[in-house]
Amino acid sequence: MNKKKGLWGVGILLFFVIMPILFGFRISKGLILSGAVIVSGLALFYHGFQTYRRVRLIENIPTSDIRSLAMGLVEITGKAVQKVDLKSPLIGKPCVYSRIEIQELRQQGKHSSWVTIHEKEQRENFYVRDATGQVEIDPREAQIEIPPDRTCSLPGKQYPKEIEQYCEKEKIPLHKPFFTVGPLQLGGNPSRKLNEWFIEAGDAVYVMGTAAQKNGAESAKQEDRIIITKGMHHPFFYISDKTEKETIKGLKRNSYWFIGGGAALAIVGLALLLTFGSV
Amino acid sequence: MATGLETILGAVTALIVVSIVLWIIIIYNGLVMLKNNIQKAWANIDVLLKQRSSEVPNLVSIVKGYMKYEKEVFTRITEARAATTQATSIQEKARANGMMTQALKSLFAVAENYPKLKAGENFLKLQKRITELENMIADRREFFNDSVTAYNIRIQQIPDTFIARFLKYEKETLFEAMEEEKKVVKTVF
Repeated sequence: MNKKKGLWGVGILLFFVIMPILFGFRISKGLILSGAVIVSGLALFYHGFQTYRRVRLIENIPTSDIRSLAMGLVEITGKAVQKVDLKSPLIGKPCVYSRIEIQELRQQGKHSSWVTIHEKEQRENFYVRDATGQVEIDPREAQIEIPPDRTCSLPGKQYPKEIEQYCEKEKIPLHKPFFTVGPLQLGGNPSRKLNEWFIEAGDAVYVMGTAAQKNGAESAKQEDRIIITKGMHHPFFYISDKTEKETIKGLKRNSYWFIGGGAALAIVGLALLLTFGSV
Repeated sequence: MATGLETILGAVTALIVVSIVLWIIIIYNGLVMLKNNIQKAWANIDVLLKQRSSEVPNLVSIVKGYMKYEKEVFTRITEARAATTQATSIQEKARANGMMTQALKSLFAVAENYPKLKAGENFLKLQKRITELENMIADRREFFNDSVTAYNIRIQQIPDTFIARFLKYEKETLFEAMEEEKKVVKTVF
């Protein structure tokens, strides 16, 4: 994360300090805008290649049977099994991971944008079980990619019961209308949207991470000896509820979009820079 | 002084060149990783083969007292152990593994005729341990073969094949089951 921030910093520094000195541009709003577009484009372009590298990594590593896992970077598939008793925040289904996010539409000057007013994530160790055995996963630093299990807009007069209960439990103000007659209402209820993600216990999962020996583990049982976590040499740690094929397809598509989109954005930024720079 | 259009065309060219370079780097690194994966997968099998081989003398010392007249079984185990120790290449090790698997199968099958031996705690422990090792060897052999297949396919595909030729990478051999391993062991009661 710090490395990424550092790269961004260097990019911005190069652009706003060195470019004006070299080309004699004066720092203006246009220059800042074009600079931001170019840096974003290049960042997307680089991210696209990083994603493509991950696609190749997933393609290159065969799936291991859990019973015979070797130390190092591994790829496994199986069913998610709870180690800790977790429940999905809204419906209360047993799960191994959950995340909820509530956003509110807020006016900022002439524009309005979605602001996250509540976010909660539950990441606890869990097991993945295949036909040969099970292994513990420590998902704390994993990149978890799962589609939302529930997405809803909350602009109506009434919140669904489970959402109302959740908001009360988490002390999120509901802003109910003061007065309601038929379709008319007075006050309250700003536009909100809610997203909920979870990996239900028993769901099929795909994991790529580093198998390591647990500290002080002496048991003969695999699940007591080995844990899959983020590695030092291979920091790629990925969890998804898609199959390997779907994961590869999705990442490949993203990488192409990022590379193409990033390059296009950088070119647009350059065109803007030339326009503003020549003024 | 370059015009705006020339600058943009220059930037497009630079991005294309950077893309090609990054793409080549990714392919190159991928091939190197695949090659190393094969070595690592093989090393992971080798560890288990050695572990199994070191358990065999313990097993023999337990069963010897009971199975005095089963010379053929012990001869096969001794031969398989010798082959395991002498084997250096993957093919030789695969062959020695096949011999050992078959010899151990025969031993466990013959042990069925000795109820006292079969009921012994030490024998059961060793049998369980060796069976576990056999299963793990089979899993890792499958993993090794998957790694080799992925590598062999990659080095024949375009564009990877150009870089593979540059690196002088050649097809690798699979760890295939020997004919002896496929045979069913007959138990004589």
